[in-house]
Amino acid sequence: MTDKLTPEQQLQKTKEQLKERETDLFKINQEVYKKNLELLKEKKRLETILYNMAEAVFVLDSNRKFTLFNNTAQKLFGTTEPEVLGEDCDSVINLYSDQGARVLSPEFIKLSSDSSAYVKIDFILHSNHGERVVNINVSQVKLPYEDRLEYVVLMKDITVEKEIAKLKDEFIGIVSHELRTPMTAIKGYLWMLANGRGGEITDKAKGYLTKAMHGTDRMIALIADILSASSLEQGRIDLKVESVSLKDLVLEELDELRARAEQRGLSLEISDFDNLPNVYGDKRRIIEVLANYIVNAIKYTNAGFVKVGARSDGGFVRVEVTDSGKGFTDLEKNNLFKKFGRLDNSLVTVAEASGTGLGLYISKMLIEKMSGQVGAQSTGAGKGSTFWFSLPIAGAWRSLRRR
Amino acid sequence: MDSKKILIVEDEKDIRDLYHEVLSDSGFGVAVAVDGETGLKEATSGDFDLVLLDIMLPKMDGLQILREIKKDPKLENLKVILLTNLSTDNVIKEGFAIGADSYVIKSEITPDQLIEEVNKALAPKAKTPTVS
Repeated sequence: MTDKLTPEQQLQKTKEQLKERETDLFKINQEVYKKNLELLKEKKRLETILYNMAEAVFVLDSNRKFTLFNNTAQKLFGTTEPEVLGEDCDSVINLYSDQGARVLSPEFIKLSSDSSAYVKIDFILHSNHGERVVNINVSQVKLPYEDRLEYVVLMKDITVEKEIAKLKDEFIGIVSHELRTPMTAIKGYLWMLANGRGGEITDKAKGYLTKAMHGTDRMIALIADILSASSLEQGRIDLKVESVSLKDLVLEELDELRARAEQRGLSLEISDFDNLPNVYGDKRRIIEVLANYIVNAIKYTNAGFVKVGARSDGGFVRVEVTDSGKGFTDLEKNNLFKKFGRLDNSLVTVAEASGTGLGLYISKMLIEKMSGQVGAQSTGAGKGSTFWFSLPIAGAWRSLRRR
Repeated sequence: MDSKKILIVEDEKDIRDLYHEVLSDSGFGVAVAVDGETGLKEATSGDFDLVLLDIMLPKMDGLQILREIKKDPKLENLKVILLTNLSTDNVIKEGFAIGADSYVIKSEITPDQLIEEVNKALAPKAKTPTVS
């Protein structure tokens, strides 16, 4: 008996071992193949999604050369991916925004260089499909495992959305015009009656007519407010932004409001406007907001004062209208700047809660359009309130916008 | 006394009648036109001191009529008050740019305020009018 294998046996054993290895290798190979296939399938799946999504997507490297160009982009720009890969962005896409800024210029790209920021604008694209309104959105991505950045540019054709918005605008414009015309006639003829142009009337009848006239005035104001709220919601309002002296504005505009406050036995005090820096805003719109705050304060205050003050606060000027009126609760606070968010009417002790319920809502949108903010505080019902708005200081504005 | 003559170009009958009545009652000589084309013909006839000119009119809009009026040197002294019901700044701004003397937002004024505007526009050497 011996342990020694014969050469034949030795050979046989090695053969068997090889066979085993081979089977292992085959299995591994099969596994790799399967994994590869899965990866390929997954890659193809993502590619198919990316290349066929409704938005045009393309990617630029840090030198603004194309590294990806999806099918929708190819259709939009009438070119193919192999044609543009590695090409300079400018040689393929030369677009300007309505304001004349070159879309995808190095500066434009740079604006998106803060990894959390992205740039989003609408512009008109003249393509072979005619004029299209396109929304463009650039975001910066840092590639995993590689120390480099790429810019993902997403373009969405929003022509149809824009058209719908335009139709809605036109509709509201027509409706508001059509409503105003009969209101104008009603108001005019009520005035004629109330003023004895249709013959003598009793005091009682005159009282009724006066009430009817107030009703029409409110209706007319409501139509006007709905129209301006709607324009603001759609961002379709032209602001004439310039450097504005709040002091001049307050001096020019507040006489009428003071008379109104005094009529209700209230004092209207104005202070601290002397050494204020100018702000950036649309003068007429600032007046509109300030007047709205003051009229509200007068309306909801039965005794005491309405104070208008202002101060610098960071890069902003904050204007405050404080009153000794009915104030509001925390619960009511949430609704103040919302559409028709008037304070609960049952609490209103003032003769009548006139107004349209859109004033503060419109004010908020206007101030935000001018890059400012609005807010209100009250220590509770019956304890007075402060309504404020802030606007960027002239000169500080540019740097704020860049932020 | 020689009464001032006013032309009302307004397509809405109720408003046209109302303005006709209040202006006549105030002693003005009044004529009316119901659309843009006749409005233009009347306005350029040289018979009037002032035109109350609606902006949205059938056949020809008020701003177009205003342009024609301003082109005619004979009508140098003709005052124009635009009538509008859309307080959209652009239209009003455009109207002033063409040479309107004033404007009123129809739904926001009462008849006596209309008379006031008319008198202001007709007053000799009227300053740039302000609008209520």
